[in-house]
Amino acid sequence: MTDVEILRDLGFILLGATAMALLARVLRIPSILGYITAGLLLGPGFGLLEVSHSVEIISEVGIILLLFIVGLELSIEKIREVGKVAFAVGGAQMAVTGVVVAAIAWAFGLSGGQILFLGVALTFSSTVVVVKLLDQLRALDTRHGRIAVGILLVQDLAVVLVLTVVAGLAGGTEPTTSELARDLGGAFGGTLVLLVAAVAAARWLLPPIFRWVAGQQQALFIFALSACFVFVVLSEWLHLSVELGAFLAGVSLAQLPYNHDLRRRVHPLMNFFVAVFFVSLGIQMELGAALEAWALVLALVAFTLFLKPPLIAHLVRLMGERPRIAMRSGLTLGQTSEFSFILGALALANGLIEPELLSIVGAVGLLTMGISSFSVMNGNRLVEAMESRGLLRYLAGAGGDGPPLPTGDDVGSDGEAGEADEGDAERAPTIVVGMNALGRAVVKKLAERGHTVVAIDTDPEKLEDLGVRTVLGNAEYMSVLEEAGISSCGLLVSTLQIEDVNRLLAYRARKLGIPSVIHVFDRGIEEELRGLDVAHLLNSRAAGVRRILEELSERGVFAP
Amino acid sequence: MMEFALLLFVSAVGLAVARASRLPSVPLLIVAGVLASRILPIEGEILQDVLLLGVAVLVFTAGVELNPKRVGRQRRLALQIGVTQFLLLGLLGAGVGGLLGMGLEAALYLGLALTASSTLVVVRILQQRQQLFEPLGRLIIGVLLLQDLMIILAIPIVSRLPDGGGAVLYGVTGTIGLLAVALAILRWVGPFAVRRITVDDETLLLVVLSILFVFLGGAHLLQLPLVTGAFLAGLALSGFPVNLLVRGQLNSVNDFFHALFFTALGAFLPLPSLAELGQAVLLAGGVLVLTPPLVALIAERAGLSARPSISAGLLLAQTSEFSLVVALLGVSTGQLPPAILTVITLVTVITMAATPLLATDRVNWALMRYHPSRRRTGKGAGHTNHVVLLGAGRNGVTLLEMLLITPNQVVVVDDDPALISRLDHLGVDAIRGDVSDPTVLERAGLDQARVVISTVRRTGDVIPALEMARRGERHVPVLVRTFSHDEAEQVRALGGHPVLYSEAAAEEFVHWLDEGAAPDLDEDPI
Repeated sequence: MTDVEILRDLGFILLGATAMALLARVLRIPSILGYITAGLLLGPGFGLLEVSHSVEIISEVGIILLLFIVGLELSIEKIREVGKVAFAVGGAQMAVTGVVVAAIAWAFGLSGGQILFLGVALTFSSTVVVVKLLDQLRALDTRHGRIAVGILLVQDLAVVLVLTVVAGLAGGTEPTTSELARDLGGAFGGTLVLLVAAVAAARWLLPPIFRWVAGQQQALFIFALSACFVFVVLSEWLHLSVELGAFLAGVSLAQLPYNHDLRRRVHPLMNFFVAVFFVSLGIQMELGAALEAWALVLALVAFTLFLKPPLIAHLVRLMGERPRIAMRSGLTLGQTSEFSFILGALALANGLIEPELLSIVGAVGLLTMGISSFSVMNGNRLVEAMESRGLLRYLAGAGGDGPPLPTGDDVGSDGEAGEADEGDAERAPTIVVGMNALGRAVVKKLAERGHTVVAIDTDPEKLEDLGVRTVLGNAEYMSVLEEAGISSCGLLVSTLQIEDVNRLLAYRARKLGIPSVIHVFDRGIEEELRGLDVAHLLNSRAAGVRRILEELSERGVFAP
Repeated sequence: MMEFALLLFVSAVGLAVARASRLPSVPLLIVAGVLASRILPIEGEILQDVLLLGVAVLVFTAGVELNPKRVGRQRRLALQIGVTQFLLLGLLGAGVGGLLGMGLEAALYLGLALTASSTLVVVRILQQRQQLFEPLGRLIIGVLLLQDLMIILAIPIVSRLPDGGGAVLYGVTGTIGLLAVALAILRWVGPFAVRRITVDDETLLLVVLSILFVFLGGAHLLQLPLVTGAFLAGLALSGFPVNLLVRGQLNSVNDFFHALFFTALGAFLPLPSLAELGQAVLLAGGVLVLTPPLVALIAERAGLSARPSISAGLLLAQTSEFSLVVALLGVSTGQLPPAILTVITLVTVITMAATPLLATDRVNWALMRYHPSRRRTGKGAGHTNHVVLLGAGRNGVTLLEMLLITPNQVVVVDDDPALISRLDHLGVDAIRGDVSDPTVLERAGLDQARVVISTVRRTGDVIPALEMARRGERHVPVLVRTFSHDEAEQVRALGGHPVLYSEAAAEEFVHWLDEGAAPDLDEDPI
């Protein structure tokens, strides 16, 4: 308890991240760039901080949670939908990118080993950056988002293979062909085992367990995280990447009806851990040698930012996707990966490369991650601009008309999931929060009168048999209200017997200019709710007493 | 990573057992941690980190919840009960510590640890009973918040005792300074920021956590315990609407660290010796036996009626998560022997696990029999064609006021001696007794009544009245307050007339909607 090193480190990291995130908000730049800059300032800049083992663990948990959320977003059907594209494009892109990067390195006079290292290290795109940005844009469930994530997961698989080879080389003696074949076979076999485990868990193991625990929010949350880390440990045990394990854990839980609620609950935790990851990334950067090799760095950055996206777009287009989707997929993957740092560190530790090369890889990574985050965030606008200048023409003849778009994105929107638009056809729905006896009675009466109703509750059982659209989740989260369509609703009703949440809902409704009806069960807070412009107070106690008085009156009890 | 995963998995097992046994999660998480650490390789470094972060988050969240509005009109009563209980139990605990041969500082830590009751356990029980926002619930929340506050204010004093009076004064001054900063943020900065700045969830969480770390840093610079900084950081964000806006973001972080903290604490503890186990049982017995009458006595003297007074005593009869924080702090400063941490943890485990078993209606009613009330019965008998009111709680009293202005003779049946005594003073014919006791119902002349109205919370308690009402030559109509359709069906099947409060409110709502949805806040005649 007295060793407060972790608190000091986290304090610096969080303060730096917050300051730079607020600055990034003012300057309208992605927060990731702010985090990395905070790390650069804390580490190489002022020398305030080094990354401790505890911070390393927190960073790793951040990546695990990020990939877990991606998995939660993608059901097996959705993955199957983009699986073919992802494998074909991922494979071809890695080969082509690797060759081009190697050619650039060769042109700058690097040695054979250095060329090979750069060719491998810089061919991958950043899963963490892309997923974080897509998540921020709520575009994980769009077609281009799914294709990009699919390609990244194929790359992750390749990463495992590369690490297996590098670890083999690091032994000091060159591995034999049979040893390499055994290691690679092990990696493929392990992946297969993990996949089978995920499918089996999704089908037989997880549904009854989660159904049993569904009523208790904290237990549900911790169970989900435990399931995630069981897969992570299994993945580590099979010598696979922790990201793959976390992702598959998420996919297996995505089949459950609580996946949206779980995603919402994991989200804040992930935001905290991932911010630590990005800041620590910046802290660990050593950019001195990269400045001396600035021309090579610029050439590699230019390739990654300006040539890699159209190359990927072309490959995606060849698989029959539409030009806009193809280009947005390409733009999304226009950076190198954090894996290049890990690979570099491993290679350096084993004497396979020199520190200068790691510095170059770091500089290319930072610059491409930072700059590409602009193109990911503004992907729709960029694609429109490219289209209007005829820059997408090269994609026009490459593929067919493309498959139908079940989620309706990439046709003009900035990437939001198409499912969210389902409610648009319904005019000004009424949102009712809390499916207790009062909530169910209110929903029933509104539905009988032809109102469009969206019911919210944290308990899936209470949402059954209502005959209206339902949203499972805690109304304290703004994202739950957004999913219910609060921005377009005509009335917000809370029948909850939770005073604080009722206050919050009244406050949010007032801020959005929506009339609200709030359940009040203690007259002591009526005045406060009136101050929050609540249109009507649902007082079940008073209504009940009135009903009893009516009954007594009918029975002549009040007659003189 | 393996250790972290193990810790998480053990937490899940603890929560699963809590779910299956319907006991509070805290003691089971601790027990799961204790058992797991004997068979699994969970190292000290990760436990230390989890304990540190867990304490900070746990205490910070408690600070965020410190909103006096939650106490409503029960503030004065909460203050009376809270302060008296804190002082009496604290002195008792310190005295026991002295008797057990502890030094002054260790005895004070023990006293502090025994004064607090568990917000986590009690709030959960109140939520399950839907009593969190009833007057009793508000009162208990008020007491709990006050206890937390007093412990946090006492910690800097106790922790600086070894350094002499000057250090204590410095600690108190530092705490007041940090408190002033927190209050300034609470009063001015928070509301201003909410009005002027809109940030996304991600940035909001970072800002909130940064405030926590700024206060932790401030506490460190002022040589105050980190829990003081964490709690005051929470206090700074406890005003409406800041507290509710940040709570959505903090819920997950808190749930996560809450589970890990208690599991890590269990894993951190050595197995208790027989002597420690004996001391823990003795202290736990003391908390369980002494708290209910003590609190009930204070509450009733402060004006609360008997049943809620006893209920408050039963609900507050356990030590708290804050007790563990206090003990951990004592161990970290070297003022408390690690063995006492084990004892305090055991006391917490035992008393927390016992609370859901003791704080029940059945135990409450059983203790009511020993209530030293002189009035045993009401007049009751001999009435005909009168109105019988079963239960004179908040609903019942409202109805009673309306009934008393009619020419009907009204007989009230309630089991609360203080309430009966008050009604007696007002000249109302009131019978003290259990509404489910047929002899009490007979005394009320239920079978001769014109109408019976039940406002009691549990529908099951009304069954004897419903059976008696249809036993005679004429069926006496019984109007029964119900909440759900299932309850209404049950009442109807027994010949009663259910009054569905939810249905009544829903009908009033749609009536309001049909009328054009104009605000009608002042129409309520009740």
